[in-house]
Amino acid sequence: MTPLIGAGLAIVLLCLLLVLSIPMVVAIMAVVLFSNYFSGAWMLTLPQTMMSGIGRFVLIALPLFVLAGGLMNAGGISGRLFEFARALVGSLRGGLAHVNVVTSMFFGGMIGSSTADLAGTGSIVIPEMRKNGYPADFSAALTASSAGIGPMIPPSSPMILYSAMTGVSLGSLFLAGLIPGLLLGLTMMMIIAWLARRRGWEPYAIFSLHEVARAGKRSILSFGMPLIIVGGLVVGVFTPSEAGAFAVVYSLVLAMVVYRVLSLKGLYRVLSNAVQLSGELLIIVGLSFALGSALTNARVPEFLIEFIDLATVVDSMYLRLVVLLILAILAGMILDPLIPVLMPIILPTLIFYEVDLVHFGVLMVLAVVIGQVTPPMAIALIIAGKIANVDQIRVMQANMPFFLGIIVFLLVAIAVPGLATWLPDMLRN
Amino acid sequence: MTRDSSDRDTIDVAEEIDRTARQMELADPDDGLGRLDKIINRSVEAIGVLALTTIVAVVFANAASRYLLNHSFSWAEELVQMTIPWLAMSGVFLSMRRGTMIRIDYFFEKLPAAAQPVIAKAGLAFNCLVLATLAYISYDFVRLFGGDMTLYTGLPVGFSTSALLFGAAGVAMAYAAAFVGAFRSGPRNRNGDMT
Repeated sequence: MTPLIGAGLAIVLLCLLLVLSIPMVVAIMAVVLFSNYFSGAWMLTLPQTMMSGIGRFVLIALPLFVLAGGLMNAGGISGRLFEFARALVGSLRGGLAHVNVVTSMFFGGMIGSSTADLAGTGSIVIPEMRKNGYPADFSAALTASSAGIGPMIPPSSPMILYSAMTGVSLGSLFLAGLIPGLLLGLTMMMIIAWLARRRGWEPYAIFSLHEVARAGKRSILSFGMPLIIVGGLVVGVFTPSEAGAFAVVYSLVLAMVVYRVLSLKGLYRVLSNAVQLSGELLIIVGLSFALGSALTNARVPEFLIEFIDLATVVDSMYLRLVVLLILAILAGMILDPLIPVLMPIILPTLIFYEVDLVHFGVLMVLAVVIGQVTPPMAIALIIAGKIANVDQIRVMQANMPFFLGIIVFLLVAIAVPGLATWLPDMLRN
Repeated sequence: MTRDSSDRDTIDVAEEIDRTARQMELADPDDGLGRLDKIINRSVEAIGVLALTTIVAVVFANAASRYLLNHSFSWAEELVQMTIPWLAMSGVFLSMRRGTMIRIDYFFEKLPAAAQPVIAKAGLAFNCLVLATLAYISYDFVRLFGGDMTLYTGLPVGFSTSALLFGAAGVAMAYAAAFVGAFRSGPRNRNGDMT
């Protein structure tokens, strides 16, 4: 059996195991064991590569930001952020839909995970939107799509995973995601404004500077966390892991001392949740290094370069990026945490074509967002559809304007790398 | 529909969002489990929480000391890197026991109802086998390299690599228990998770 056929069989085995609902950790582990066995590689390379993958210092930021997000969530920031968003944009036509998007943007700067936003805020905002005359399928679709803004805005878990797999500076990635994240939010708000005009949706609240000041005052301390992260990274005071530790301490003080809503028992529960949420991702990263090493030995990246050369008839970098991102979106349609699994295969190709890895990182996270709202899996739409008690197909149809909006945004982000690279380049210089 | 922002109704929405988010974050995932299951989960949880607390404390203290006292601890990075495997393996164990392992359910649900329990049981046996193999390989790994000393902390490398051995063995045993349980009373859910 040639190494390439062996690698092909390994990829087929991985897909088969995942389709049979075998947990991702076990499926990757089995495939690496299979590859090592048939290629005659030393079996101990598996624990060795796993340990070196998990031990990457940048990965320490992952549990720290997950913990900081959990503390903020348990510390009662969600309602404050909603209030502030309502005071800012609730007076626009289709106000509550705008509030939904802006709350997600704020959430992105604190939590970094779309699921927390979707399940937490969505379970209240979707019924509220229905009560205010928005169709249930639209409410679910908007909430699912807007939750996807979170991973674009620092701190972002997918970006930490990307940085660990590629070695790209996490600080640069965080900064690179900021402008596209905000623009993605604005794109959604423009779509809402257009729909609101056509469907006659009313404002949600009357604008008042006094209310903006009141809500802003109530939520201002929550915004200290993104300031610590972005500010610390820009000024060069912190490494990303240290920014994570300071974010934890800041949110701890906020939840336990300032807001006084978190007990020691609650703190223990939040710590436990962070262990559970980040532990599996850390192991997936470690295993992905082992998988990448096995596939590289089988010369899969070289095969991928040949495939891309064949698929792109015109010699264009943009076209190559599109082909790579289509692969990423296809993988993302099936699996949420696709970055650790895909990057070891794609990375040599990116280096060969001299693609800017910071730019590609932002595009990759956008691909994750698109994968979450693309059938057949569309995990975000499924969760939101369940909250709204609406059929999944109807939610997907209602999501079409946002889906197209994100796709157009991705194409713009491919064509204009400066959207991602300008801020880190400018601030780092 | 438009109202003053400080309306009781809209403030209630914000409060309700807060309450729900806090409830979700602070809910006990082991609620309703038997005593033995709770003891097992709580014990592993304690290891994970201790590991995470250590990481936060060391990274924070090191950074603070560097800026305030112009002194950093040479052992800090190494200690954190040695603690991470314990956090990771505790997390995987808890994910398995609490039914939150990352997997795709979509295609499994499309299978004929009669085939699902058979595949679920085969899946549990397969998961157990794979994890047991990792535990066996990790045992060799720890035996061969575990005695090497680290540069700054002076701890044996086995302190961190044994997390892989104990973690994999623990998850394998959990899957074995779920497999046996599936034959006794049917799987608690299709992957044998405890929730």
